[in-house]
Amino acid sequence: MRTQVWQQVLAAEHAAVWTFGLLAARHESEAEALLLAQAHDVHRSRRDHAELALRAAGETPVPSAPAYELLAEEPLEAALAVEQACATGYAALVAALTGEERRWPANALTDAAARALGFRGSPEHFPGLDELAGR
Amino acid sequence: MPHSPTAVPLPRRALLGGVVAVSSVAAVGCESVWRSPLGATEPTPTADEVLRQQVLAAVAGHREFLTAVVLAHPGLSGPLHRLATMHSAHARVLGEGLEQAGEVEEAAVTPTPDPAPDPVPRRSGAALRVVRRRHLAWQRQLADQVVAAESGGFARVLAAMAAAVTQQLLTLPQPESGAA
Repeated sequence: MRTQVWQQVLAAEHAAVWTFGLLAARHESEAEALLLAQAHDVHRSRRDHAELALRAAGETPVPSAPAYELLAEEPLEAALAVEQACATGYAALVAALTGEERRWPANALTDAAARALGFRGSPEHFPGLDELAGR
Repeated sequence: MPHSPTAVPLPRRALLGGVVAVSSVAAVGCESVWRSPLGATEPTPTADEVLRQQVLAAVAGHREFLTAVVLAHPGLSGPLHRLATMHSAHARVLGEGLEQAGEVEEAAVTPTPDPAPDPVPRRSGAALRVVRRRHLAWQRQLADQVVAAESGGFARVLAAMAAAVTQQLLTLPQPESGAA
C-alpha cells in the first residue's frame, strides 16, 4: 500500500517536473517566470526524494514518461492543476505512512496549498482532500 | 502518455477514515474498559478520540476568539470571515466522525471552550497580529498532531487542515505597521 502510494506521488512529480519545465518557457511576466522556476525546482527535489524512498524500500521507481498532457492551456491554470494533483497525492501519502514519516508529505501538502495561491488558486477548507472539495 | 493525477486510494466513506474507524471500533467493544468505583463500566476513549476532542476544542476556541475580535473591531469582519468559515468547516467534518459512529455520548461531542482566551487588543492592527500569531501556532500544532494521530485517515484530515490554515494566513491582510 505505502509503496503504491509513493509510486503515485512519484508519477505526479514526474508530471509536475515536465509541466513546470514547459511552462517556464511560456511565462507572461518575470514574476510568473520566478514562480514557475521555483515550482520546477521544488518538484525536482520532491521527485528525487520519492525515488530515494522507493529505492530504500527495495522498489523500482516508476519512470518518467517522455511527455505529459497539459491539464490546462493557460500557464497558471495548468500550474494550479499540477499543484492540486500533487496535493492529492501528498494527502494520500500522509494516510499511508505513520508517525514522523508523515512530516514530509504533510509539509509538501502545506507547501503545495500555499503555492496554489500563487497560481491564482483560492483557499480551500481541505486542500488535497478531493472528496471534501466545497465543504 | 496523459498526465494522471494521483488518485486518492480512500473511498468516500473513509473521508474521516481513522476518525470513523476508531469510533466504530469503540462501538463494537474492541477497546479497553475500566470499572468505575460504582461498578459501572465506561469505555476508555482511544488516543485518536482524545486527540479529536482536543482539536475540536481548539477549533472552538479559535472561532470564539475570532467572534470576539469582530465584535470589538467590526472593520475586520470581512478579512476574518473566511477564516471563521474555515474553522466551521473543520468543526463540522470532525464532528461528523462522531455522529456517524453514533456511540459517543453527547457530552463528549461538546468542545470545551478555551479556558483563558487571549484578550482582544484595542487596536485593530494589534488584534490582527494576535489572530495571525494564534493561527501560526495552530498550524504548527496541527502539523504535530498529524504525526501523533494513530489512524492514517485522521492524520490525512489533520494535514489538510494545517494546509488550509496556511492558505488563510497567506490571504490575511497585513496589519499596518505601528498599529499596536
